[in-house]
Amino acid sequence: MKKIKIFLSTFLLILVSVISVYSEEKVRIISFYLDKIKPGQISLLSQLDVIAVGQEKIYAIVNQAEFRAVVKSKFSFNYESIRAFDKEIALPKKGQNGMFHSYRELEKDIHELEKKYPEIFKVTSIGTSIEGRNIYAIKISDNVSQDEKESEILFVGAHHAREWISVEVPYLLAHYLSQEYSSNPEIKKIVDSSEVWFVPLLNPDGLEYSINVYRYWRKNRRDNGNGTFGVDLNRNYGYMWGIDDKGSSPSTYSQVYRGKYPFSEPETAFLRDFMSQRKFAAAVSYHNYSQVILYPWGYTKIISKDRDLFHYLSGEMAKLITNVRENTYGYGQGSLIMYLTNGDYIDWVYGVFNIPSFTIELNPKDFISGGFITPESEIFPVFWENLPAALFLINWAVK
Amino acid sequence: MKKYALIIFILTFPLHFTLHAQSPPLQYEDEAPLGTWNIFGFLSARNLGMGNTAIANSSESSASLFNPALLANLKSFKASITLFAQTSEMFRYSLINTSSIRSSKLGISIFDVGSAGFIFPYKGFTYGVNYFFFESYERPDFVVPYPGQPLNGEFSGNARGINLSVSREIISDLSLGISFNYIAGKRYLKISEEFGSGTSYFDEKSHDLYGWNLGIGFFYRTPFNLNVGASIKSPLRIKTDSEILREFKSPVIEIFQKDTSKDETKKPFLAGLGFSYFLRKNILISSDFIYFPWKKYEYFYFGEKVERNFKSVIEICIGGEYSLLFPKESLHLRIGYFYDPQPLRKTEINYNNFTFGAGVSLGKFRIDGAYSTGSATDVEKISSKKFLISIVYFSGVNDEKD
Repeated sequence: MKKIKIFLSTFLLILVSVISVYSEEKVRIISFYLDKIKPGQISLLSQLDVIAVGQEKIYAIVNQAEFRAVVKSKFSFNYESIRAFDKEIALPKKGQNGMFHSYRELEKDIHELEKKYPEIFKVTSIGTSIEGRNIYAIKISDNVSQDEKESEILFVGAHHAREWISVEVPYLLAHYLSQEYSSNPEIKKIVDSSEVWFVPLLNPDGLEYSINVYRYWRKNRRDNGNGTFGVDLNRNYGYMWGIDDKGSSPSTYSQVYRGKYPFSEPETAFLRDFMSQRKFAAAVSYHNYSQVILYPWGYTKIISKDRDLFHYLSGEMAKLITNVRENTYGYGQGSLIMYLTNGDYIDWVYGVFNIPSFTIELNPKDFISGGFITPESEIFPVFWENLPAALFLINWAVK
Repeated sequence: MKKYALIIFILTFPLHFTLHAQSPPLQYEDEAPLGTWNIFGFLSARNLGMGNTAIANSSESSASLFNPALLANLKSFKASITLFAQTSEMFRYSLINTSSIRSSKLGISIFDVGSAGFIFPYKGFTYGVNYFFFESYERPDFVVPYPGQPLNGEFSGNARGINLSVSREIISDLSLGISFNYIAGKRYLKISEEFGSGTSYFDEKSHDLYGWNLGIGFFYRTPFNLNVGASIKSPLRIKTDSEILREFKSPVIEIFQKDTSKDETKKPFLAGLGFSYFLRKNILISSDFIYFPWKKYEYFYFGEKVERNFKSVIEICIGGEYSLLFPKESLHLRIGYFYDPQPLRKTEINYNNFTFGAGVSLGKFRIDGAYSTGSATDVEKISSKKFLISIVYFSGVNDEKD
C-alpha cells in the first residue's frame, strides 16, 4: 500500500511537472473517493480526464470549465494540486511563521497584488495599531478607484492573534478574485457588480507577538498599565459592550478582557470608522477553530428577528464548505451553539448596521486536532473549502 | 591581618543583600540584554565605584575594554579578575502575562566572572589579553499552574568575549591603542504547555551568536594634571544562527515546524570621551561621556527586519577617588554618579545611578569592591543595583602611585 502511494505520488508529481511545461491551460488535479462515488457522478467522471486510479481514490485533471462543473455538481471531491493557483501564489516559505504571513510579508504581498492588478485591486490603510502598524483594507472591484453604487461586503481576518489561518483565507480570497478576474467570467461578474472589501489582518501587533514570542497570544498589545497586556478585540465593540461578565471580562488578566470602554482600541475604532463610512450588505469575520458558522446574537440567547435569514445563509455556506471535502461545518446562533460573547464584532455589525454578519470558525474541528495551530499544508485546502461559501455570500449580497 | 579581613568584609558586605539590576520593560524582551542596553565594556570594581568612569581612568587589564590607549601607561605586568553579582527584577515583564504572569516582580540572580586578563609591556608596546562578560539573556524560568494546563518557560544564555589590545606612546604623553573584540554566545528560549489528554505544545528557539569589532583609543596626559581619553568602537555585527522548533502533539495529530535562519544584529559604533584630573596627589576626579547611537541599531530575525524605534543616548558618568597613602599599602574610597538613559522611546527609562566603592592595595595586590544603586526617573518601581569585586595583581610598579 505504501509503495503504491509512493508510486502514485511520484507519478502525479511528474505529471504535473510535464503539464506545467506543455500546457498553457490552467489545470487542477482533483480526486474522488471510490467508495463515495454516486451513480449520478459517473457521467460527470466520464467527461473528465482521469489520470490515475488508486486503491482509494480516482484522480482527474480538469480545466477551469470542468472544475466549475464539478463544483456546481456539488459532488464531493478533494483538491490534490492546483497548479494554476496554489503553485503560482508565493506564500511565505521560511521563518518562524512558516507559510503563514507575518505583518511585513502581508504588507509586501498585497502591495504587489495592487501593482499587478491596478484596475481592480486597491490597498488602503484604515488606521494604525497601538504599535503603529497599518491596518490594511483591500478593495476589489471594477473601477476600483471610484466609489460606485454597488453592493459591498467585508471579510475581516485576525481579530485574534493566534488564529493565523484567519489571515490567509481572506488574503487568498482577495488573491483569487483578482487573479481569476480576467479569465473566469463568473468571478468577473462578481467583481464588476460589487465592491468586495478585505481587512485580512485587524490585529497586526498581536500577530507579530504570536509569531515572535508566544504562539498562543490572543489579544492586541495594549499596555494595561498593571503588568498585563492586551484587550480582546472581539469583545471591544460598542454593541452590548460589557453587558455582563459572562460574555467578556473586566479583568485585564483575562483572555476576554473587553477594554476600558467600547472601541477603546485603535484597531476596533478604525474598523468602526471605516464601516461607518460605507454601506455594507454583509460582513464575515474569520476565526479558528471549531468548523462552525455563527450568527448574532452572541450576547443573549434570545433569537434575533432576522434569525431565519441568518440561518438560511449560514446553512447554505456550511453546506458548500462541507461539500468540498466532507469536513462538516456546523452553524447556528453564537450564544446557543458556542458560548455567550458580548461586545463582539458580529453583534455590533448586526446591531448597528442591521446587516447579516457571520463569524466563521475555520478548521480544525477541535483542540486535539490542532486547535489554533493549523498545519501549513492545510492553508490552501482550508481556503478552497471556504471559497464557495464566500462566493455564495458575495453573490447573495449582490442580489 | 585582622585589619585586612575587616576591609574585605566591608567590601563584600553588599553581597549579603539581595541585589538588583535594571531591565527595560520591553515588549520583545527575548532579544534584550539583561540590565542596561548601554554596554561599552565590562567595568572593573574600581571604575564602577568611580561612577562608571573608565575612558581616561583605568589601571588594570580591563582598561583595554574601554580605551586600549590606557595600556601604554601601565608599565609592568598586571593581571586582574572581576567577579560580579546581580539580581534583576523585571517590572511589566511581558512575555506571557495574560492570566498567568502578572505584574508581580520576577527576579533573577546571576553571578559570574565579569572580566579576567593580563597586560604586559614588550619592546615599547603594551599588550593586553582579556576575557569579558558581554551580555546576559537570562530570564527567570517560570511555571504557571493553569488548572490542568501548566505553562513552562525557560530562557537562558549569555555572550562573552575575548579582547586583544596593543598600545604605545606615540609621542610624549600621547598614547594610541587599538583593540580587537570577538564576541560569542548562545541564547535559548523554550515555552511548553501541557493541555492534558496527551496534548502538548512546545516552542523552542536557539541562537548561536558571534561577531567582532575593533576599537581605537587615544590618551593624552596634559601638563595640568588633566588626562584626556577618547575611544571609538566600530559597529558590532552579531551574526546569529537561529533555529526554531515548534511541535503540537495530540493523540490525533502532530504538527511540526522547523526552520533555520542566518540573522544579524548590528549594534552601532560607540564613541566615548573621558577626563581625569588630580586635584591633589591623592584625590582623583573623572568623568566619561559615551554616545550610543541606537537610532542606527538594526535587528534582523528570520529574514525580517524587526523595528525597534530606538533613540540615540549619551551616558554621563562622574566620580572621584580619595586615597589614603601609607608606606606599604593604601586605602581608596570612591564615589560616583552616572546617568544611564535607555534607548526605548515609548517607555522612557532614564536611570540615575549612585556608586560607592573602596579598595585596598596590599603589596602586589589590590582588592576593590563597588556597589551601585540606581532608579529610573520615569518608570515607577524600577531600580538597578549591582556589586563587583576585583582583584588586581602587579608584578612591578604600582602605576597608581605615579
